[in-house]
Amino acid sequence: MIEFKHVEKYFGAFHALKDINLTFNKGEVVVVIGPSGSGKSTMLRCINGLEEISSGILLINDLDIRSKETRLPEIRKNIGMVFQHFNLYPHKTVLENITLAPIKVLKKDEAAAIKEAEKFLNKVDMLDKKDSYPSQLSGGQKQRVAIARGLAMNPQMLLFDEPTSALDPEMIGDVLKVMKKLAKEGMSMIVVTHEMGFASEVADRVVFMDSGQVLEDSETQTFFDHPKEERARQFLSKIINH
Amino acid sequence: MDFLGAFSWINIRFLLQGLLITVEVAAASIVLSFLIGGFAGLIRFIKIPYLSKIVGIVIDVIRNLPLLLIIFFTYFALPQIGIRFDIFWSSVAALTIFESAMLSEIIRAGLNAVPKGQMEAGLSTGLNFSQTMSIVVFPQAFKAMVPAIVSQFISLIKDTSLAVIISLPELTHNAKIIYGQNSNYVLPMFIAMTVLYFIVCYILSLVSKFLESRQYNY
Repeated sequence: MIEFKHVEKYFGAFHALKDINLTFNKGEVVVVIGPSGSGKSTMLRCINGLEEISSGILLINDLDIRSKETRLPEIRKNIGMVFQHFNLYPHKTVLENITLAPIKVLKKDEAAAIKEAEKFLNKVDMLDKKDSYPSQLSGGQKQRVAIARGLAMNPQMLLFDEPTSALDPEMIGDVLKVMKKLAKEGMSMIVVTHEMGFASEVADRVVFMDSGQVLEDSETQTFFDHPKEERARQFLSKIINH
Repeated sequence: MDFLGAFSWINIRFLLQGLLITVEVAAASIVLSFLIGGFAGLIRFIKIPYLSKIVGIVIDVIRNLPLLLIIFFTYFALPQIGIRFDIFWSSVAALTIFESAMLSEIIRAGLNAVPKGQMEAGLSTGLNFSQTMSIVVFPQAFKAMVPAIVSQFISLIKDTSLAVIISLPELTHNAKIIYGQNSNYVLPMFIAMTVLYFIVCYILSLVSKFLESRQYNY
């Protein structure tokens, strides 16, 4: 459903993505790993048009993201995104954070949107905080609300941009638990993360990126047991033995 | 000093007429400069090629001119090119030009102060740009902008007194006429101006306090 063909991305003179060729299929959970500055987040943000690609072709459900006829809001409403820093709306309650887009974009009536939102809040175990403001929540709670916000649009796919990197260690487990639950239910997910445990447990595939290139794209088992690339081997040994 | 003579009924009425003009000029300028300044600030925030640059240059020029010069400009120079306002609207035009430039910077700074992730979060859920601006970004920016905007409006009220130079019959102008008749009225008139300007400006700062307290519920 998502296809990168020879995608290049420049930030000014900086070459952030180099000849990216990737496919993400429906129902798949793909984990993207790699050192900081390797372009993983940039690649992810291109998928919902938060970054514009410089050249190449990026197809989302057979729609060319650069074509004039493609309307980004149409693409985005089918693809949820969870950010490293949650980006909840601080001036809205938990419930309002979740119902905003369904009401404004999907034109749901308020009562139905609230009912749906409560269902998703229950799923991420945050229903009791529905009337709180984000500032009253811990990082892990905020991130679970952010996941519920993404789910509320009933997207075909969820993108996670380092969802646990800004969390205290004891909060990470709660968020990962929710993500694992989603993965088991068949949600299509692309997850940029450093959580190797999560990757080996739920990912169908692992993509390894370094300095703007995709160095490896393998089945999870193959990647962890026999990484093809020397660079991936180095990265794994560092990150696992730290 | 002659307080009784200075505050005769006729003088008080004359002062209050001046105050009314001050408030009218200020109110018209506040509304216009909020609209124009808001629009200019928005244009600079969303970075439209060329247009935002040009608006930025115009704002920089205006901000670095004395207000007095702009008042002269709207009253004496504009008629030379066929644009003619009366004294009242000349004053409003000058204040609007000047305060719009100031406000646009406050509004741009307020919008810039909202973390970029807020815009991205709104867009990523499928809201379009104007929905994200109006529902997500602007309310947060506004909270940060209120104190600065209100203090700008307070200086606008005080700046109306500069229009005395083109004989706008506002508070300072009328007080000047009264104490011009009798030097015993000078001190009473200054006391009267102090009290009246203070009351009007203080009311505005109370509005600011109210808006802020209402905003800080999260």
